[in-house]
Amino acid sequence: MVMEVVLKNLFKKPMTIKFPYESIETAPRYRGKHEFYIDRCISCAICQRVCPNQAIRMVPSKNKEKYPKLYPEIDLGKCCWCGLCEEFCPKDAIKLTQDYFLSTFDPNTVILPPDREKDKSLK
Amino acid sequence: MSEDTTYTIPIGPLHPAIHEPITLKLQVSGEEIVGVDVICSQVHRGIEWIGMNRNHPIQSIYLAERVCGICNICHPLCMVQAVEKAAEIEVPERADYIRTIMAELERIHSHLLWAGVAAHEIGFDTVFHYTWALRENVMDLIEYLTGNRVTKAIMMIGGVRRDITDEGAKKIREGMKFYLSNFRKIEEIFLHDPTIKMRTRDVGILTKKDALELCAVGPVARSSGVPKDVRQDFPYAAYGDYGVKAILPDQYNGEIHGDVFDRIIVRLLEVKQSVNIINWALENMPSGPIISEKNLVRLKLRLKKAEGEGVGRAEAPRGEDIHYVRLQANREPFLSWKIRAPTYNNVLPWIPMLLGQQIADVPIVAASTDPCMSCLNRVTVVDTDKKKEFQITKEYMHDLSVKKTRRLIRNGR
Repeated sequence: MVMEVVLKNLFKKPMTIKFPYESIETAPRYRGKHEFYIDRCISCAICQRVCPNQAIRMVPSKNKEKYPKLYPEIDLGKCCWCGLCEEFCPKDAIKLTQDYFLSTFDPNTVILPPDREKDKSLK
Repeated sequence: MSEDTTYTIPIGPLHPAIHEPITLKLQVSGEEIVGVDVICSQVHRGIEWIGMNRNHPIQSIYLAERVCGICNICHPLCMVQAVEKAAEIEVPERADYIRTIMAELERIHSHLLWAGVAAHEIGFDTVFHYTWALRENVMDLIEYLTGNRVTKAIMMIGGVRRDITDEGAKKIREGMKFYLSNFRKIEEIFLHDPTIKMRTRDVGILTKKDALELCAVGPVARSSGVPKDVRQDFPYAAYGDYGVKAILPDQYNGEIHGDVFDRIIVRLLEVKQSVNIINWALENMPSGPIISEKNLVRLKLRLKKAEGEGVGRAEAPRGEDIHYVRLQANREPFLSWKIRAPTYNNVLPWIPMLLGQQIADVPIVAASTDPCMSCLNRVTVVDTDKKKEFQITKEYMHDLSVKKTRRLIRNGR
């Protein structure tokens, strides 16, 4: 009886995975890193007013000729991943993606500026 | 050594046997506990203050979710009910059913978590890992339904934010089948194992009289024979349609001891009850909208205009949870917000439970009420040295304060 269990466990695949190289698929409703579509944004600042943790600030973009208004800058360190900004946005300009690779060594990368480059690897 | 000699052993605020900050001062005579003093409120985080000064009600839902990591459906559910009563907002029927399902999924995961912790406290780590592996199934289910394992962010004033799709319903049914098929095994481990029975039978007894006098709630009260359950007494969400009956330990073996073993029985039977409620709710779930006001900006404006007060009650896995909310027109944050978490009531029963026990029983007896200190965060000072009773008077406090000032002055130089 004991040997049976031991042998079974010896040849079983491990419960863990090698994390950075492999990863478990997230649930379809998972709320990860924010994607921001600056062309859709109308600068209504609803996302800023609704954010429970005040993680969103309205700042001017770098390309002031093309985007003259104020756009949301998201502080991932403050974000509580409730998804209210996504839900309140009248133009669907903010989307929460499946990306959960958020740990970083550089504190500057925690704040997402509005005119950041799109991550091509995302779905 | 004379027989009257007692020693005071402080346990906590940070102690490996107690997972959250709380101080226990035990007076022991030999190995027996003769006096207990519980000092709470060491994790005050000012949640109510933020809700009353900074956040508007919709933001406060996500704050209420963070009152406790495990009861993160019950607290928002309670708060949302209170706000709905205050602002007179209707809830669609389907949303009520989804809330019921989520609350019961939470109860399953909380009770299994507790069972694991209890096994760990008595040094039975195999069972701890086994129950937590079983719990993983319901966590995955919760992640599938809401998008997150812990802070689910599914509540909204006037409904819920995410629907249960056909595929979700299928997954829930599969999960519930898994628990029903594994229930016999959990039952065998916990209720027929001689080790667990030895450590928990007639340990930490709370009599029915004490439970009523000290206002114990939830499984602690029920295991002492008090049929007290908010889902039965004041049904909310969809519980009124189901007709929940409070689970007492005598339903299992016909006797009520009020000890730790009875608390295990009540919690395990409640897991089974939750599975039945979820299956029933999935069968009878009506179709329709899941939120009464789809436009959230309009909802926010409506809440700003609303005036009134409301009380929300919900049966959290640990007992009755109450939120009181008062709204004032043209003021976005709550005028008043008071949370009464179940652990607040369940800390006082520690004293009759611990008196006369051994020091080694402290962790399992304390854990048997499933305490959640971060829920508690209110000041309670209790003195129970039976021989010399004294109350902290204003003069005494003042005296202490003066002494402390003098000491600080002396040490400061």
